[in-house]
Amino acid sequence: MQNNPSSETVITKSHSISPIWFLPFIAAILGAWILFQNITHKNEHITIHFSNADSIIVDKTKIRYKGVIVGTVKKIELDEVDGVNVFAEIESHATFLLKEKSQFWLVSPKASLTSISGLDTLFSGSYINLLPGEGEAATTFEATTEQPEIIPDNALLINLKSNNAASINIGTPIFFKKIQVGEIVRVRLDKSGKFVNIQAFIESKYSHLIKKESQFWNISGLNANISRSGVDIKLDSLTSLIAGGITFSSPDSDTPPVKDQQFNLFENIDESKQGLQITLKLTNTDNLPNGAGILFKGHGIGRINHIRYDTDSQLFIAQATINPAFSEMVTENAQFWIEKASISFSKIENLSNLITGDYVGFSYSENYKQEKQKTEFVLNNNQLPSQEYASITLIADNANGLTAGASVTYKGLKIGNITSLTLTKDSKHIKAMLNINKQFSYLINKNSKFHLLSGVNFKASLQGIEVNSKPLKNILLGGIALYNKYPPTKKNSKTPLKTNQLFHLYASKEMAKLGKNVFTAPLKVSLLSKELPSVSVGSPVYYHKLKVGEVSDLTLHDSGLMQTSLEVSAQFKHLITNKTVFWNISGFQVDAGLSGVKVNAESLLSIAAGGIALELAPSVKGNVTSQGQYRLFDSYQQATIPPKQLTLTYDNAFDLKVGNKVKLKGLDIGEISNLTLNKHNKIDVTLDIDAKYFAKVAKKGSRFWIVRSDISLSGAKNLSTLISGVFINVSPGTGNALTKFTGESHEPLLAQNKTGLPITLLADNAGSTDISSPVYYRQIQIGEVINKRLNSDASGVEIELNIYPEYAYLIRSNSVFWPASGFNLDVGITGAALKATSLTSLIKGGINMSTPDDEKLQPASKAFASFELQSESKNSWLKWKLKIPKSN
Amino acid sequence: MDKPLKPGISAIQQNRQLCRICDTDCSITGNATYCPHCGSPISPRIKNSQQKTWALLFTAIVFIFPANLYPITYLLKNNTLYPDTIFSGILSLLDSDMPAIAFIVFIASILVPILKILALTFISFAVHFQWQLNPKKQLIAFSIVEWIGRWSILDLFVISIMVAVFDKGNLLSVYPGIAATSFTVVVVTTLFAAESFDTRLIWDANIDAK
Repeated sequence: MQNNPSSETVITKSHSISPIWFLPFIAAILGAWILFQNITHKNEHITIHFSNADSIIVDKTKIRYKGVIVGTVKKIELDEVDGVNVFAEIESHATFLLKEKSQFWLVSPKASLTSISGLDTLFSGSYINLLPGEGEAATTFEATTEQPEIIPDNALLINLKSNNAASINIGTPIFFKKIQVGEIVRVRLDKSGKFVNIQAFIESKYSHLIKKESQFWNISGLNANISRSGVDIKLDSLTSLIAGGITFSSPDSDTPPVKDQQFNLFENIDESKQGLQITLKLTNTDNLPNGAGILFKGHGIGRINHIRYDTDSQLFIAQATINPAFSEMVTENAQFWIEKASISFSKIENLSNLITGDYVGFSYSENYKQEKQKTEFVLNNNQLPSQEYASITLIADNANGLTAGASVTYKGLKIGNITSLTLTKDSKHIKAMLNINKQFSYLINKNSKFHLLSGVNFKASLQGIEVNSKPLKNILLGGIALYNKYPPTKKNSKTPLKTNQLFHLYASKEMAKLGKNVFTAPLKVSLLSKELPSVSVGSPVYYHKLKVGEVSDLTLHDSGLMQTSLEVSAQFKHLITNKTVFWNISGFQVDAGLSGVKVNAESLLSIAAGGIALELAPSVKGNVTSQGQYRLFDSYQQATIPPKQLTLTYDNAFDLKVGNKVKLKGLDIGEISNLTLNKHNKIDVTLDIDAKYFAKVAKKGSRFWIVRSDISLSGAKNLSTLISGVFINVSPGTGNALTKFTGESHEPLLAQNKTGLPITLLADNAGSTDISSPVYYRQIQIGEVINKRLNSDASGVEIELNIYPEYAYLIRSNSVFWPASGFNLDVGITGAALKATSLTSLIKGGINMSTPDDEKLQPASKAFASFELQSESKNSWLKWKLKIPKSN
Repeated sequence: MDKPLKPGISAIQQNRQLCRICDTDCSITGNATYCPHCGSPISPRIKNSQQKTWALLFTAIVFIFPANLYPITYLLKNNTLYPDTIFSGILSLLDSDMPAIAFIVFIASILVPILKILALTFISFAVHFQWQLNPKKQLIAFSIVEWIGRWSILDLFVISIMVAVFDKGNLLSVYPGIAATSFTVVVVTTLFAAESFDTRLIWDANIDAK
């Protein structure tokens, strides 16, 4: 280490003050100032008593004055007695606002018809507003429930008196020439409870408009001016529509209002004015409001002031004021009536009346100048027809489709309307009064016809559906149309109508075309039948498919028969004579067979509703009973040419039913009409045979048998009867006329053309031969077995054959017969041979026949000749090829 | 000249001083004003360290009150101003069920600045009055304060970001309050106070006391 004095450590203590001390100095000053501020500007704590603390939030809800935040809610406590105490801190700069009369109220969003206020609080939350008052400084306040009305400085305060506070509210504006000049600030009931005291202010710049003579009246929001041309609605302002409004007059005088002058608030502008006072009597007030207007051709000429009820006359008495300018029109023959709102499907009238109430219409008498003035009127419900209309009376059967007010049209053009509907004196008809516009009255002459405009014509047929509708209005309201066969022109309609002429109302245009006959009473016809036809009341009656009437009644006749009453329209009366036949065309006939199904119906309507047809049949007999009733036939045929009957007797009714057909060679000639058990315990089957075939079959020798389906191994026969039912076949005889026969259950074997050569075979036993077993020649059936029996001494069997006539010549005296039944099994060294004639013969048995060819052709066999039935055949027999000439 | 320093004895006693710029030591006597290596101003101890620390600490102490008592932010929501102090912010965080964040904010914004001031004040007092305390423990405390102190500035970043982002006029805006400025002053002054404090004085104080 060097000892260098100069390098000795010198420790110098620095006593200099660092400039950094400036910083805390400034800080100290700042801190002191903040402290000072805090001490001097101490926030004031106040208590506001609210009824509830809805939407007041601690630390969030502010207290404002003129939009400036002057404090914050710090604490909310429940009051011991009632409500809540809200503790708030008012910032020091606003403490001067806190005086005894200062008011606090909660501002929250409020939407009313006239104003939306406090909308900002929707987002920012409610706040408490402060309105400074006077008095000593205070820290405890009572919150007011509503925002105090703030009356602008220097505004003129006026007092109004009214009977009621209708549509007047705090905030209701006061207009002058539609400019808002003031506002209602207070509405209070008078101490007596009779009046409403209203306090309002007029802004200072308009205060000069209020004079001593000023009159105030309520301007109802809507001023509707209703005329036929339309509705004219005047609004003073949208605000006044909703909140009402008050306006006033400002006469040209200089007298300012007296201090504390009380103005009367009139209900409307007319109330104070002078006019002709009239009295209207009405049975009920309906929708007629107090103050209803009286309109003359749409122009307001007066107003009903008030309506009271008179107990003596039991009428409402309405006092009305008529504008002096029109008072001279109010004479004896003037009319007053109520115009009502009318909403129907066809029209909407006076819709505004729903809002404003009905009004009173007025029309004056044409020569009012000569008439005396009158001040008491009866208020009609409708306007009476004036002279601009021609009045017409219609007679209708019923009021269906008629409405008062419905229109009367001619070729679709409206020419008038129905004014009223009443019953005639005898209460049988409806009397409709029509008003025809004067300009169209020439259309009406004594030949005019009126018919109903029924709404919808609905036609359904198998070809489709046709809907024909009149305008919707007619569908809904109905209406009447005028029909003139010869369209009149203005020139040739000189013949005036008789004033008392009555017109009939036709149900439709078609009816109208037919004319008056429609109204003559229909002809009543009674029909008798064993059973009621399947018709109902209203079912049609046709003549050549033209509807001429309808079924009016179905009853039981004294005789036990069913009686069907018809009403035949008067214009078809001539069709009902003693030659008229009636028959039932109800429903439809089904003819079903294997070939198909045939449906036969008169008309769709007759299927549904049934129906009766009539026809003039010159040759008919027995169609009218002695009492004048007609017989109701089942068909026209039955009516005109009645079938003739014959009787079959059966042991058993088998499948027979009434209605089963009787056929001759496949042709329907009749049917079974009855099945009865006779005294011999047999079945009598009565057949109705068509008259024209009767002679042919009702002969001795005719045979009747039942044909039914037959399914066997050899084939199926008459399958169609499975569907159509069994029928009776006839084989006509040739004898004398006869009407009683014995019926056969099966087809006779020697039926029809098959009667031929009978021969007899002699055999040891019958073998498999059976009745109806075939007889074959070269495998062709030439006949059949018709009988088999033991011979007289029982030594053998006799088999009777019937050879069909066309094959009779084949049987020769040397012909051999052998059974074809079964099969032939030959078993030999060469093998086995199976022989069978045919499958039918295999089962059914049969007989073969042949004639040797190595002999001379023998003569043809005679009837009832006998042959031997060989027990076995020889092969050589099958090879015979004898030529047999057909005719010899 | 460059003989190694002896441990256990302060450098100033060994006539050595450290250049705070280039981290080399030199003798005090030979280099009174400038570092022989880099030419920076040099002194064995930071000049007026205690004075500076005291002055800055004092400023911080003054401003810590408005920083905590006045609103740090104003939230303008739907035309209404909602002031928030640091503490009310922490409370509303707690209300919003975010206790962890509330705790962090409480540590960073309230506890740390106050503790920082307290710790610095304590160490400064210890140095000034030459209390016989364990210098190593004091150094640890100081290091913690210095390290954690810088995090307090985070609050200010958050506020400045919020002010920038939430600027939707009357609908939603954030304005800094008086406390924000005060808090900034507290953070900055305490940072500088820690910076200007020369930790070697702790040992000097111990040596002087002996």
